[in-house]
Amino acid sequence: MTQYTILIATEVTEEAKALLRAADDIIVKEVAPKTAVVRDNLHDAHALITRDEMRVDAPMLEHAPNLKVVARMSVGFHNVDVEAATKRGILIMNTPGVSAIAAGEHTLTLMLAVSRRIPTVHNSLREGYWLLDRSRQVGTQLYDKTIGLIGLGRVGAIVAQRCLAFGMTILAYDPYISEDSVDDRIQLVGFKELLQHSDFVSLHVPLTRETEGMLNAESIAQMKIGARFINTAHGLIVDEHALAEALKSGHLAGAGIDAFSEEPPYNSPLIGLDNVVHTPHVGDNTVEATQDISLRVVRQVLDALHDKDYRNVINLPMLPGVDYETIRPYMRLAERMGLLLHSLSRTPIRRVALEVRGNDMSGLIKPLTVGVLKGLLQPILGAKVNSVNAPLLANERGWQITQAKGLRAAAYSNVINLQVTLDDGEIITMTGALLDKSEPYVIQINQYRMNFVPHGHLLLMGSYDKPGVIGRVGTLLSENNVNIAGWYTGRAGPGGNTLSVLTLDEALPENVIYELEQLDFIRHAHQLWINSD
Amino acid sequence: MNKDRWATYDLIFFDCDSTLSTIEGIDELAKLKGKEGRVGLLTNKAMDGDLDLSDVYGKRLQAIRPTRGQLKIVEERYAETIVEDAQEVIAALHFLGKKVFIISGGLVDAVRGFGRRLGVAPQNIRAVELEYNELSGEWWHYHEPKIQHEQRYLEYIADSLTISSGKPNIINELAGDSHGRRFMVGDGSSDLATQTVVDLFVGYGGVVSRDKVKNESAVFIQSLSIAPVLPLVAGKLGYEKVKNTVHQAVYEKGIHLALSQAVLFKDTTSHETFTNTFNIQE
Repeated sequence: MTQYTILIATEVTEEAKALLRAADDIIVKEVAPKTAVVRDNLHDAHALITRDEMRVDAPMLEHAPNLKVVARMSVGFHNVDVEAATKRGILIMNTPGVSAIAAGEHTLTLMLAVSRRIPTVHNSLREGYWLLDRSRQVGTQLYDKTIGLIGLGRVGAIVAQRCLAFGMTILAYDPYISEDSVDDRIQLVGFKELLQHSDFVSLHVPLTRETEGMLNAESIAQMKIGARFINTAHGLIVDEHALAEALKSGHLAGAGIDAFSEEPPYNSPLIGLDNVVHTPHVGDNTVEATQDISLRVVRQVLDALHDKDYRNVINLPMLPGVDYETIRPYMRLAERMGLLLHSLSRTPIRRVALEVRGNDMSGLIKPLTVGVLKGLLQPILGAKVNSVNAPLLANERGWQITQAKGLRAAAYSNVINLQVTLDDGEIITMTGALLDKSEPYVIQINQYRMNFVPHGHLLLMGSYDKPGVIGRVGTLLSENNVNIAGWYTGRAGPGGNTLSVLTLDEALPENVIYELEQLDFIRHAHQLWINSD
Repeated sequence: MNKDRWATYDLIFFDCDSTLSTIEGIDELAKLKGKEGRVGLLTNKAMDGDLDLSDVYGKRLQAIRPTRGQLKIVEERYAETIVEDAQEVIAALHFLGKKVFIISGGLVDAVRGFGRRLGVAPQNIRAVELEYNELSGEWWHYHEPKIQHEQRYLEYIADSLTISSGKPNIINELAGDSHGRRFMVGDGSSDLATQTVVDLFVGYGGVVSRDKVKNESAVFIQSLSIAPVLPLVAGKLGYEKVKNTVHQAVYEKGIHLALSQAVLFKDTTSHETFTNTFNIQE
C-alpha cells in the first residue's frame, strides 16, 4: 500500500486529526507554521495543510519533490504561488463557504456596532458615566438605509439576506456574477454608482490583482458624506491612509474593520480612531466554523490523495456541483484521443482545436481540453505531466489551443471533435464519444470511419485499399505469435487510402513493425500502448 | 370604441438600443475595437431597412469579435446613456401592474444586465445569445473570475432576433399565455415590423429619427424624454392611480409632452381621442 505523509502546519481540531489517524495509509506530521521548519519537513510530504500564517512559494516548493496537494484552511490563496505549484502539477485546494456565515454575521456585528457606537458607549458606562452626552451617543438605524455590497459571492449574499431582514435597500457591484442567479431584491449597479448611493459600503471580494487597492482616495471621495465603511474581507483592498483621512475629516461617519493591510496592524492609522470599531481578524473565528473547516480540509485532502474526489481544487477544471466521478470518463476519453493523435503526428504540434457537441458534453470543454493536452504531452514528457500542469506545459511549447465550431467530422450527437494542426501544415481530425457515458470510443479519424475503444496495445496502420492486405498482415503477425484482438478499417473510398487500427493482445517486436513498413501497400505503421486504468 | 376614451395596454415591449439607451450597443463595441466605420455603416443600413439584419449580423460580429468583458463595458455604457426618464417610466409601469419586456437585437450579456438595472426581470428580456471561446487567454486559471471576461466571441445563435422580420415572433413567444393588449415602442424598422402583432406601435425618434418609422408608426414620439409612453399606455385611469405617488411627476411630464408637438399621431381620430381623454375638465 502506498503510504502518504500529510504535513500539518497549522491548528487543526482533534476530531479532524482522529479522522486522519483512522486511515491506515496516512502518516501525520505536525510542525510549527514557520517557513524554515516546514521547508525542512517537506521532502517526504505528499500533502501540506496550512492557513494564512506562511507563504508557500516557489523556493519552498523546490524542497517538495513528492508534494501532490497544498490545502489551505481559508478561502484565499494569495500567499500560495499558484503558478509555481501548477507548473509542478501540485493541486491547490481551499475551503470556501465554510466560514461564510461566520464572516457574514461579523459584518452585521460591525455594522450595528459602528452605527450604535457600541465601543464608545460601552466604555463610557464602564468608566461610570450613565448619560454622558446623549447627543454624542446618538446612533443611526439600519432600517431604510442603503447598503452597497462590493462582491456578491457567498459572504456577500449572506450579508444581503440579513440586510433585507433589517429593511435595507441592497445595491451590489459584482462584474462576475451571472444576472440570473441574483435575488430580485438586490440591485446590481456599477462601482461608482454604488459608492455614490450607499449609506454603508461593505467589501466581500477576494484579494486579487484587480481588487488590490480598489478602495483608494479616489474611490472614497465618491462615497456619500456620512457613509460608513465595513471591511471583513482583506486589508490590502483598502488604502488605509486614505480611509483614515476620510474618517478624520468627517467625510465618512464610521468604519468597522476586521482585516488590515498588515497583520498585526502595528502601524495602521485606523487603530484608535474614535469612529472606528476594529477587531483582530476574527471574522471566521467561531466554534462552528473552526470545527467545520478542520473536518472539511482533512476530508478533501484524503479524497484527493486516494484519487476519490477533487473538491475545491483551484487549479483543476472541476465544475461546480459536478463530482469527479462524472467528469472522469470524459477526461479519460479525451486523454486517449490525445495519445492516439500524438502517435499519428509526424511533425510537432502547432495548434489544437476542440469542438464539443451535445448536451452530455456541454460545459465540459475545459476538462476535455485538459485531458487531450495530457494525452498529447505524455509521450513527450512522461510522468511530469498531469491534469494540473498540462495546459501550462502546452502553452510553454507554444501550442495554440482554441475552441472551434463546425469542424468537419462525424455528425453524431454527443461527441468531441479534436483537430490538430502540425508544423508541416498537416491537419488531423478525430472524433470520440462515450458509450453509456463510460466506454470511450473513437469513431472517426480524418475521413475514416472507425469504431474502437483505444486501450491496450494498438497498431495504427495506413495502407492502400487493395486485396490481400488483411491476409498478409495477419500472416506476418501470426508468424510472430501476436494475436489480433480486433481489426478496424476505415477507407476513403474503393481503391483509395485506408487507415486500420488493430488491437493486439501483446506488443509487436520492433523488427515486425519494420517488416510491416516494407510491405508495398503499407503507407505507415506504428504502435502504441494505452494504459486502461 | 368610445371616442373620448383612449384604450390602455397591458404588455409593454421596449426596444433597447436608441430607445431605452441613446447608444447602439454594437457600434459601441466597434468603437472599443476601432472598427466603428465599417460596423456603423452596416448597422444603419439594417436599421433603415436597406439590408436584412441576417446579412449584417454575422459580419459585424466577425469584424468585432468581442470578449465577455467588453460586453460588460457596453452594459455600463447603456446605463450611462440611458434615455431621459426611461428608469422612471419603467418603474411607473410596474407600479401600474403592467408587464414590461425588452426585445433587442443587441447582445444578451449587455442588454440583460442593463435591463436588470431598470428592474426588468431577466426572463422578460430577449436579446441575441452568444457563444464564447472558453479556451481564450490563460483559461487554465480557473480560480480567477476575470479569465471569463477574456473569453472571445465564437458564434452567435441565429434566431428571430437576427433577422429583420423576427421581432413579431419574439413578441408572440414572450407574451405566451399572458392576456392583454400589447404595446411596442422602438426606433428601428425591425421594431416597426411588430405592428402586425401589437395593438399599438409607437415609434421613438428621440435619439435617431428614421423617416420610414416616422411615416409608418401610428404614434411617433419626437421628444428626448420617453415619458409620453406612460399616458399612451395607461391613459387617464393610469394618471388617477399615480397621483400622490413618486410616479406622478413623470406621468405629468408625459401628458404634457404628448399633448404638445412632441408626439405625432398618424390618424387624426386617434389624436382627438387622446387629446379629449386628457382635456376633460375635473
